[in-house]
Amino acid sequence: MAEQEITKTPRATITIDTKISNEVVTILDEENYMRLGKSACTRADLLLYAMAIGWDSKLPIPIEQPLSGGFARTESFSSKVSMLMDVLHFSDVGFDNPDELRDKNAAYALAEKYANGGFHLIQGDLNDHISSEEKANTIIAELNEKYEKLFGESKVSYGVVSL
Amino acid sequence: MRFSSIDIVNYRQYRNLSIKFKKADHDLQVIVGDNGTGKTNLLNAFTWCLYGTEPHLGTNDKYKGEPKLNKDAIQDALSRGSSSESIEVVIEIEFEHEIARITRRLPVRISSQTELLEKKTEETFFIQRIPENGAANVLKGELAESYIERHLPEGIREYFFFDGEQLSNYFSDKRNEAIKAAIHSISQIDVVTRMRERTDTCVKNMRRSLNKSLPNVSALNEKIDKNERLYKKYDEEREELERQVHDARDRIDELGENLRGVPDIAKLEAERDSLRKKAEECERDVAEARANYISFARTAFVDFAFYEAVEEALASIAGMEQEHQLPPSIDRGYIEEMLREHVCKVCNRPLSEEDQKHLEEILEQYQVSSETSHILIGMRSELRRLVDRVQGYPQSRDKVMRVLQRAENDLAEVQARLEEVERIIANFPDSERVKQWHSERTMLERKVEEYREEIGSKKRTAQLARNVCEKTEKELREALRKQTQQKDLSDAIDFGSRAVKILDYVEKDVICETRLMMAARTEGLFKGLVWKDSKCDHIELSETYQLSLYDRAGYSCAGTCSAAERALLALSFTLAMHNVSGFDSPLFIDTPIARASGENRANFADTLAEVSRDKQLILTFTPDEYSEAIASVFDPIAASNMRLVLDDAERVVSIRSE
Repeated sequence: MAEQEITKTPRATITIDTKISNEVVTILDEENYMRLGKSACTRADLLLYAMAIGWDSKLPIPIEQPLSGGFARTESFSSKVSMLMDVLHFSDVGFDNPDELRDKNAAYALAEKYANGGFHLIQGDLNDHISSEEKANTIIAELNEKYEKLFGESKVSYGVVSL
Repeated sequence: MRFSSIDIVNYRQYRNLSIKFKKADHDLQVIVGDNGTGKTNLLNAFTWCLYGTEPHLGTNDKYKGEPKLNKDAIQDALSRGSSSESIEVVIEIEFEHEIARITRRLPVRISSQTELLEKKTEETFFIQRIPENGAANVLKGELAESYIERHLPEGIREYFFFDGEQLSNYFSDKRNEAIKAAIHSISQIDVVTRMRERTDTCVKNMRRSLNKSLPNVSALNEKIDKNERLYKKYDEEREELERQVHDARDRIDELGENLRGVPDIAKLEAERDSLRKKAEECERDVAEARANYISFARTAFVDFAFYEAVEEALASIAGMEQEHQLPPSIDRGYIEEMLREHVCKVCNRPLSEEDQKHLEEILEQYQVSSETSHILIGMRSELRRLVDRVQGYPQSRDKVMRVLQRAENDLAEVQARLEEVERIIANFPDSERVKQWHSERTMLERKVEEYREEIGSKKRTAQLARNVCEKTEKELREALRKQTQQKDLSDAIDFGSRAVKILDYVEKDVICETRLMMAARTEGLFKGLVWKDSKCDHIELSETYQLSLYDRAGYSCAGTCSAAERALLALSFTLAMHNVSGFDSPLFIDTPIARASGENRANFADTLAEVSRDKQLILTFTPDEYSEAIASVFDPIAASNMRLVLDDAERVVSIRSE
């Protein structure tokens, strides 16, 4: 990819699958599942969470029918969101090719795939009627294990939240 | 009262004379002496002893310039070398129940025959009182003078020490006051006068006291009434309040019985409402804590999901840094552009193959472009924060869960209490009634407290009013006491005023009576003394004590009276005064008939002989005056009949009883 092309044409929006928008995001907004509704978090944060799920599950799914007009404006991304998209891209292309980081559109496209995968998993949870608290408890339990694996004793003082 | 003796030492011509006045039916003491033998000085010896004065020396008297100290005594003192001698007169007076011995002694300093100095300051005057029963005593100074004044007042001495040669002067106008005083004193009208004057003074003093402002009793009574009304009103109000407190306490007790074991539903309901609100707050807190917990789980999941990639990215960046590719010293993009265009950007000449190979080798060596470097450096801090968050996960997790746990505990506690309260309330279906009882009891308890405060206030105010009453009552008692005193004073003034009027009347009445009696007695005596063909018909004594003689035709004949008649008139008046007033003093008359003659003398002798039955008469005569006619009357009855005799050298006078 030519350097000038990379740097001069970053996309203004990032999108999701129209079907996801209709079947998942709508419910999220309504039910505020995992506090992911638009009243509780930004679209960028929703994308980030979905992307993390997709990444964690190694489940990139290409978007079949992009949502018209995009889902979130890239200029509104926090440094964290932007950085994690870059890291995802960096990791995807391999850390030996750092100049690939200059291709923001490639990073966005990758983020869209993983986010789309994540949305599908979220849709599964929604379909299974797993509550936010159950999900949060599951996440915390998983993280405790992860942490233990990473750093040893997690020193959990409190149990999971009783529901 | 009578003189029983007189002892004269060194007084004028008397070197040492002692006269005893004997007692008899007629206390008539006749002393006859030639001129110069000291008849008048005998009179002076009496007055000098009694009063320290010698009023009978007379303006032309030969003794006026003579020394009081006897000349022989002076001579004797000088001859024996003595520079002092004393004059002494002692009079002894007999009273009904005592004897008074009156002594006056005057030391005289003698320098020469003519240089004498009476030592007045050393003069002694004293009275020895020898009562019939009891111990004798001595009066000196004012006490002695007072004693003399009481029995022989000096103011009227000329009415008992009578100088016959001066009788004609007794009725001059300027003597009227003296006559009046004499009559008042002798008849003791002055006692009434003094009483009237004293009473009048007392009345005036009492009036002055009475005029001082009277206490305002009515104002004090009003003040007491007002404060009594006040404290009674407060007492009634307090009693009413106490009744209300009592009723309230009864009702509170009754409600207490009703509410025994019954919770305060209203209070519980209030607690329930409060708990409900608190539960809502707790629920909100729990919801918020749960939301935070969910958000935390979600964000922590993101961090953990990318953790490995982030670590690898950080490691890659660190590697590039170690290789000094960050930041790059050569701009890869710049080199890539030269390779693409086959032109050197520095010298603008076409690149040779060798140049291109060299640039490709540089590109191989410097993999990071400036833009990429910028991106990597920019993301590095954010990557580190993610690593930190993952590493600090347990703390963040515990913090979030602790908050959630606390919120849930609080909610559980509130809900537990709420359930309990609701259960209690639910157990009392008649909660409205219970609430009413509780409400009533609370209201009554509050009322009781208010009443008690009000009762305290009423008590204090009533006590203040009582204190004012007590104080005012004291003032009133004092005022009434003063008023009573004023009333007593007023009564005393009325009584005193009446007494003054009565005394004034008595005084005037007695004076008038005395005056009339004096006039009548004087007239009687005068007619007895004066010759038969006297022109005098009657005598009047005016209110101003002017003695007037009227002839048969009713005309005043005083101006035409002879000196002898005036002398006899004076004698009559004096005798009348003694007689009317009952004044019990001796009467010493020196040469009583000096100016009378003939028939008058005989009358005089008869009259005085009669007087001497009740009063001591000491009469001094010249041998000529003591005529056969008089002697024929006096000699048979006289208690003493003495003669004053001069010795051959005519220096020493002695007395000889006949």
